[in-house]
Amino acid sequence: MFFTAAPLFNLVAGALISFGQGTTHIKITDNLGLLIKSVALYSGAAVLCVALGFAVAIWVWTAFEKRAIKIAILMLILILIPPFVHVQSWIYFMDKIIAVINSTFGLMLNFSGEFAVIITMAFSFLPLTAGLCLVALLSVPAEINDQARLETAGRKTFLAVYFPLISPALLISGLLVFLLNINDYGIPSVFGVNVFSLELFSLFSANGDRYGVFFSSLPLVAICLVVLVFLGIYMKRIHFAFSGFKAGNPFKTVGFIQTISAIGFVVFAFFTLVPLCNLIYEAAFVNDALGVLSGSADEFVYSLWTSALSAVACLIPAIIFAYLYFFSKHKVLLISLAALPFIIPAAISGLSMISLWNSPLLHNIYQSPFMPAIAMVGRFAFIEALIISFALLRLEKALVDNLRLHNPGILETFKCLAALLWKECLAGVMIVFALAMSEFGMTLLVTPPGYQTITIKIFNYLHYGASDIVAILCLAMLAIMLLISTWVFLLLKGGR
Amino acid sequence: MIKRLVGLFFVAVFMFVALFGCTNPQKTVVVYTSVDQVFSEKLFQMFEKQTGIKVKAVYDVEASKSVGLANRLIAEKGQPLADVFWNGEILQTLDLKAKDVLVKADISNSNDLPNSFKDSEGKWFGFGGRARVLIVNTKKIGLDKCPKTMEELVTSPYVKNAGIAYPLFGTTSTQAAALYSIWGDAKAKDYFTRLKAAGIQVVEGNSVVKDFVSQGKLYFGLTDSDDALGEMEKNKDLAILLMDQGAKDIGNMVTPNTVAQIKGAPHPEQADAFMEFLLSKEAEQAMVDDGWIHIPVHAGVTAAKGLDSKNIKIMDIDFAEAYKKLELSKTELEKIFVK
Repeated sequence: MFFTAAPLFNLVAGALISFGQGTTHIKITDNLGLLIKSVALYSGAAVLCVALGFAVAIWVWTAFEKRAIKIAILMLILILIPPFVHVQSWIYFMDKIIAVINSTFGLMLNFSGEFAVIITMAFSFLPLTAGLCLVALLSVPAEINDQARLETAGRKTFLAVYFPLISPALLISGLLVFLLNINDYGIPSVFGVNVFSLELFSLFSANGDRYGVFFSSLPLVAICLVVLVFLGIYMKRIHFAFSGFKAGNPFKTVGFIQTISAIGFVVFAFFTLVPLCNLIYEAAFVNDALGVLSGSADEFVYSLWTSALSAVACLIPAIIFAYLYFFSKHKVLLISLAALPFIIPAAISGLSMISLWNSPLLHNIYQSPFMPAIAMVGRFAFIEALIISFALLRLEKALVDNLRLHNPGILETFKCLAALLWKECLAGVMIVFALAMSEFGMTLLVTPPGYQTITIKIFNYLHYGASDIVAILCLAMLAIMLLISTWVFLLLKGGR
Repeated sequence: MIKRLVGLFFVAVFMFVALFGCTNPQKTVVVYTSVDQVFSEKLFQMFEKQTGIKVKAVYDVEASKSVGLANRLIAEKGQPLADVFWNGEILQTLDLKAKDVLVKADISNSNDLPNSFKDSEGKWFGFGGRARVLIVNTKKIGLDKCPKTMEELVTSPYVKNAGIAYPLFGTTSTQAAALYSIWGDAKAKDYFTRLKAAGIQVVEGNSVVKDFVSQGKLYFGLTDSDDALGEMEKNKDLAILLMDQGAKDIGNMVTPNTVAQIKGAPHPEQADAFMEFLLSKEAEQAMVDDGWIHIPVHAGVTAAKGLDSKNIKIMDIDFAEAYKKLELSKTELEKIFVK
């Protein structure tokens, strides 16, 4: 809890003291238009991501039926592919397509602007929406499935019965995509699109006043908190059955479903082939691939260990939070407070971490290689807390009380809860691992000298224009992620 | 299953400590650098080979535009981890001096540097730099149709197909502050207001300007010579123009590299050794050969290919005066370009 809450308290306390001393002025943005435009942009990306994810989920549900749950888990694991891999791949791919169109039709199109941002964001987070939608489809109770099969159900049955059952999952995935992107200006700025988070960064760059930027970010924080409230409402309505169901699609022969399934297949093909083909093409220009990889071995190992350590360490505050949340009467307030380290801009949080940890008492830890893992725990523990909290909410209160009664002691209770919720814990660990692997805003500020994460190295080489080296490193990252996902898959005993 | 996972966790922590926790007793120097890793890494390897002192580097990321590292140095002021700050430009270094992050250093290799390349208090040293250039896609536009001065950029009929990086970060902000100090506040503000109104494309960074021009999305754009010349090796349709070279023009801006020692540096002796190395003729020649520096300072250093550094009319700029304009320029330009 010290890792997650202390930097936030440090930031808020510093901001209030600075305001009291008159060295910082509260400046709520006078550019509400930009804020609204940014929200619209990210909402557009989220909506497209949900629509594409729905199509892909229908395709898997139709084409694979009995093995669909295994594909669902694999799909969720594909979230490990960093967004910048998708961004680079789509830029290269679309530039080539547009060059052909321009030369054929004498046009002056280019892949930039809001359209490019929405497309790349939507594809970057496709596994999240597709995976959650697919699990929701597979969690439809067997009786409803059987009934639909017996009555040779059609489009109306799907829309009237199935769609309401899966819509909480669709909404939640869309809200999560929105939250994960709202503080990002990296992708929009690559395409020349101005967003509110870039205004915050430029404000910071102009005057270096992180407390002023904190105050300026409050409208964005408020929007995120509203999104979190909706997330909380729909999380209660969601029902995922991870075991015991018999997958089956009673709508396989319905034309409406077949059309969506075909679209989903095309979408998934783009999702996998665009980055893969592009990376392989660019990597072919590297003369000494082994040299590049061996020269980056330290960064790979450091990134993997740091991300894994932070993902697993997040479980401790996450389970404690989930337990408190279960018994709390102020759930909305509690989750809003817990979300703050996640929704405050990473650079501001990072500087607060420095002022907290680079003190005489904690200096040895600050300069240790553990520091990025500590920073990631502070930033992403909320994600695991959210997943485990809502998993715990689905348990009967009587069951939890029984656990406490028959297993006295906090440790014993937690051991039992962990046993009941281990799948949700694992899901949280995997998601935080993915987020930590691709994070750089905070990592840049706290990584000790002599160490570097692979993400920072890739960004440095991206800027330099060494797209061939970037491609090799990204392919290596993909291969490692696939190995990890295979290991997790086997850990889950093949999804059973 | 739970016991297995908990056991795995502790094994992971132990292995993490074993792999990364052990410190090597070898002499080290900690360098924070905003210079591209592809260039700075080679210099570090050269230094390590020559002296046996291990360099622990902290690199910046283009997305944070050197603001990240500078702010980290300020935040660590009480208990610095860094020994040396090597910056690819100068104004951020002056900012660190103003915030009392730097300390005086006695570097014998700085004796040959022109006075304008050294701090009067000995707290920073400048060396070979990069030029701000106009990168042009000659398939889209002939060189004769390109603007030749910064003033002409605004009135060019092709300004809507031109690009600059946000003038709030990096060398673009340095150039903006330089124009503020040379032209005066009112004229500079008016210039940038008209530039924005004329429809110039403002993009994320110099490398994006370079990429967009190379891809034909823009006809020309302002960027740094290392970005431009590096891309010209891959795309033969590109060319560069130096701005303001006429007899009555202000000259083309050149941004020097700067190096400084951090106050309270944990390894001051090694810091001195690294700064001596970086300010040597040999190091500057290596950076010219690699394509990082295009305007060398040391006599006898062979000029960079692709840029006739001996015949450039360089902007006569007092960077200390430019630094005084930095905050004003950023505040005004933020209102013009970001809002």
